[in-house]
Amino acid sequence: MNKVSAARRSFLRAVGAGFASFPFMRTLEHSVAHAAGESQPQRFVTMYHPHGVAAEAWAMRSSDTEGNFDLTFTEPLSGAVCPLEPLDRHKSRLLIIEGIDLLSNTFGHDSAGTILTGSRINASLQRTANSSLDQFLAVEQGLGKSTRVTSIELAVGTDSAATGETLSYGAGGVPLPKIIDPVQAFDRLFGGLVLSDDPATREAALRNQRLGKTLVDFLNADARRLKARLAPSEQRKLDQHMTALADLEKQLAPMSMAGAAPACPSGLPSPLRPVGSRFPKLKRYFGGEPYFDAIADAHIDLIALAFACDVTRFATLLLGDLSYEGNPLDLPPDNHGGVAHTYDGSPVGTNGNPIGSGTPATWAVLAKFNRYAYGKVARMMDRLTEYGVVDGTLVYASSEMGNPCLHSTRNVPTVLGGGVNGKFRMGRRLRVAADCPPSNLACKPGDPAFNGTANNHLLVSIARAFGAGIDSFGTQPNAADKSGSLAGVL
Amino acid sequence: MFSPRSRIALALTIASVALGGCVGRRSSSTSGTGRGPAGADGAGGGAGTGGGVASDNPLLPARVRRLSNAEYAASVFALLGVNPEAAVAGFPRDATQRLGFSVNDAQIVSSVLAGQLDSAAQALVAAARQSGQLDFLAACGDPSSEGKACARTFIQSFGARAYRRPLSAEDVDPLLALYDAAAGEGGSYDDGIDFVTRAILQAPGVIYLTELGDSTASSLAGKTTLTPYEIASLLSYLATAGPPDRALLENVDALVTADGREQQLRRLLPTLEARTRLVRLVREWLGIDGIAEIDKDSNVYPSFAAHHDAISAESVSFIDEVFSNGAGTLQELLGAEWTIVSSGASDEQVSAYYTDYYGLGVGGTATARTVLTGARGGARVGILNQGAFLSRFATATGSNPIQRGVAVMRRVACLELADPAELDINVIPPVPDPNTPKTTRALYAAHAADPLCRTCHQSIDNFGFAFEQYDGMGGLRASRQEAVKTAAGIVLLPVDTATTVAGTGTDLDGHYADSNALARVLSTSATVRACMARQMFRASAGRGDASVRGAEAHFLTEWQQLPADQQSNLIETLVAFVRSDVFVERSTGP
Repeated sequence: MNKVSAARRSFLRAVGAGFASFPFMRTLEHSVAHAAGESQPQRFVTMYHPHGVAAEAWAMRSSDTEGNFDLTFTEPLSGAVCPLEPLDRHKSRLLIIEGIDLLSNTFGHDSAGTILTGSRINASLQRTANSSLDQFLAVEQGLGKSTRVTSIELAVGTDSAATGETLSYGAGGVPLPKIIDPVQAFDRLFGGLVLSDDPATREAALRNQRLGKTLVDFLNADARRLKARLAPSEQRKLDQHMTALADLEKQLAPMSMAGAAPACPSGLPSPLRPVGSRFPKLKRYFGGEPYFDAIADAHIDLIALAFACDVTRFATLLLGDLSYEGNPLDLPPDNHGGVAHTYDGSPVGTNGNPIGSGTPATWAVLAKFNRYAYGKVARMMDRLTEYGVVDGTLVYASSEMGNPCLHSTRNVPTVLGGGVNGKFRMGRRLRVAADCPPSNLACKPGDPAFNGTANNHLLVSIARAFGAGIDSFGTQPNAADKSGSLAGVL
Repeated sequence: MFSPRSRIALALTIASVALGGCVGRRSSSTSGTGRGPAGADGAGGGAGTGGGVASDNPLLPARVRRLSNAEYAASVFALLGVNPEAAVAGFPRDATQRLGFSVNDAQIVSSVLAGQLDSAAQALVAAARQSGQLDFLAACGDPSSEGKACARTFIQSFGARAYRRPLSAEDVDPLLALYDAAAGEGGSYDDGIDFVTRAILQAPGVIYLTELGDSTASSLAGKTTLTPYEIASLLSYLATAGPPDRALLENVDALVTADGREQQLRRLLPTLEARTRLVRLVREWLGIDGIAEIDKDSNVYPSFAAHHDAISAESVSFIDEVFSNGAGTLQELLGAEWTIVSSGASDEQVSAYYTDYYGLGVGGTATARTVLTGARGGARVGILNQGAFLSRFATATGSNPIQRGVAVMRRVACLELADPAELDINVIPPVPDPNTPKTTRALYAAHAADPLCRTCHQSIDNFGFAFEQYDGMGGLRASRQEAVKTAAGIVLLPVDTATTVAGTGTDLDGHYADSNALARVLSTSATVRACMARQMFRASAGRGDASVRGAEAHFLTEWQQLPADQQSNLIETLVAFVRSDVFVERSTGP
């Protein structure tokens, strides 16, 4: 069986063989066959988990080396299993980095926005000073242009636009909305790709696709008419609107007109629309808590499938809190107060800053929550591997804090997975230089002694891996904090 | 269970973040740390495209503003008569102005929203087709022969309501082309009407309000006057968060006069839609709409979850009562010694709220004003001493005098403060001594000792300390004692609510026994009256940053012509706004 026929069969399976006779579907099929022979594109997914980590069970131990480390150990004082253990099966495709700082200049809980922007947070305006790396690559560098969906921003449990709960930002640091409903996420990614078995519904969908361009042309003309009456500063609003309409056009267009067609590898499951009744409630504090796990899994599977089908190449996924009365992890019902704030850490993960020896019993509960989060990262890696796209993908998992009880945005856990087609050397654990010298362990950003490693350097490294020729990324008062790549990653 | 160190560290961290302007240098790009009542400096740009360049132009700029989600829902409901809730439920949240106003001219249409607008439009069209509403709106005797003529009639009538103005040929022709595209090629008349409707429901000309005037008329000296139809829309969305009704559209010419606008505004204000809008406006102003998102550490506040609905409902009912059966004044809003919880919570929740939370000793339901002078600990004066404000401006584990003080200063008194990020300061949580328990107030003693901190904190902290009789969910601290967890267990420490506010340069400087005394002064303060007028301007104009400080000052000057009793009235302030030139004229300059 040659490559082309395998891809063709797989795609027919994905969309349902009954539709192969439609003209645009045949066009698509040819495109798939063509695309299968080309080199893989690079994809980027960022996953966020809240409340930092129990560093005692997470950090490198004295027996670990850069290339030889154990992710399955049990921390002796607390009995906590290393939370990275679910990722052990992907060890050769991991790059685990400790000691990265988020120089957000604000409260730990407000700092998720710094992860992909490398920007200080304006807590009052709830925005960052620049766009996030995913948007920089997908929109400003045009790497998302050729796919049906330029980028997708998903979250579990929260659709707040606050910086503490938003990873992706458009030009100027405008927070981008997140989709929290897997059904909506599916419709955005695959809505035009998978047609119903019902002939009437199918006919209506095809009609819709034919009319889609007519609709978008009308909307663009209406926008242009309005824009022509505006001063330049106001025209930006309509420019942004027309950028959004370009995405709508890609969404509505028949596949043959939507830029690069999906290139689904063989062995792929059919992209099935999630059943909404599995997630009757979505928002945390509004009854969505018991569905957190199912929503997270659905989002992860959709992102991986969308990557595999080349529907999009850029995604962010923000995991909210999984904690409620009767949660399957048997954690206290209030994760924020009962786990993160209860965590009484040791100097591990705080650069030796003397904060006491900690309370091991509190490490175990946080480690358990962390393990759950890394289980989701592992699921993403599993799916990407299963779909054959793991080596062309970079997974970036991080949190807004290191030690959550101190609300410290320093020493945040950083896990890279996948490969970016070999541009990063994986299968390693790295520890960057300590923030402070032993003589001044309480040093802070701005002090002459401070030698922290801002995540901006990592963002520069990632941008370069994606072909962007930049030397700095983000917004920091000290130019050195945002310039240059992260040593040792490439 | 709960580490004392982590609790204290949390409180200090939040505190340090919130205060801002204590130490460090000021960024050259920002203006005015502000002593005394601020101009428009501090209200900040929206979360959308950002604030523009500072401007002293006395007029707002000619511009467009995307409808908020609530405004869009009301608009499509008015057009099609089908419930829009499900269709718009998934829309991204409104990007608000800095203080939380959802009327915000910086709102954008993101890719996600563009997709959802189209999905919503299709769902609404399907629902309106099913309900028979579209059959009625686009009735046609013989679609096979008169289809196009019927479509033209539909476009002219429905389109005019959607665009909120009569349509020109330039408007109609593209819509008719859409009809042709969908009704042709085997499509039906209904298909054509559905497609046109789908397009109209997401057309830029529909989802943006224009404030551009008539471009064909000559504009004098860089300014333009809004068209009567634009005025009708602005007035309607201002009053009701919905589109102009028939009475407005049929009398648009009267809107060019201040009296005509006032008459229409007063006609609209008693409607349910207008009262809902006023409640939203006040909740956004005071930040208490955020109560919906507030959760508390269940270890510290095990009863918060049970009271949450009643706390939120109280804020709605109370504000509604101030406008429907009261005079709509600051004296009532900030100084009333009664409350009301009449909707949004179950009878059991209301009963528990009155007995457990307020300690009134009377259960049952309450749909009328309940006097609070008999409350545990004495009266609760005004909305700032109610659960919503006190819970919203607190942490998950404790009270927070800094958040409460900053909220009073920024929102109620318009005393501006710079933010830590603007000041370029680093916020490092101090590590307190776990063996020396301190009240929340005592934790901030360092602010008074440090001369740099004192600059801002002698005001912030002292406004906030007045509320220290209430814990983090607004409950009265029993016996005026704060329970502080330490390594050795819980200790009870006496709270001190007496404060002296100094250095604001306003009528708010003075000594207060507690937050009730403070609220009584706020409710009659000239500083607060002027601040309310500023906030009403920002909430109504959809912008409040330095780019419109000239327009804001212009409105304030006009508002100051009102008699003092009208100045404290929110309704009269809104009337003054729609009567003003600021409402109907726009700058067309660069």
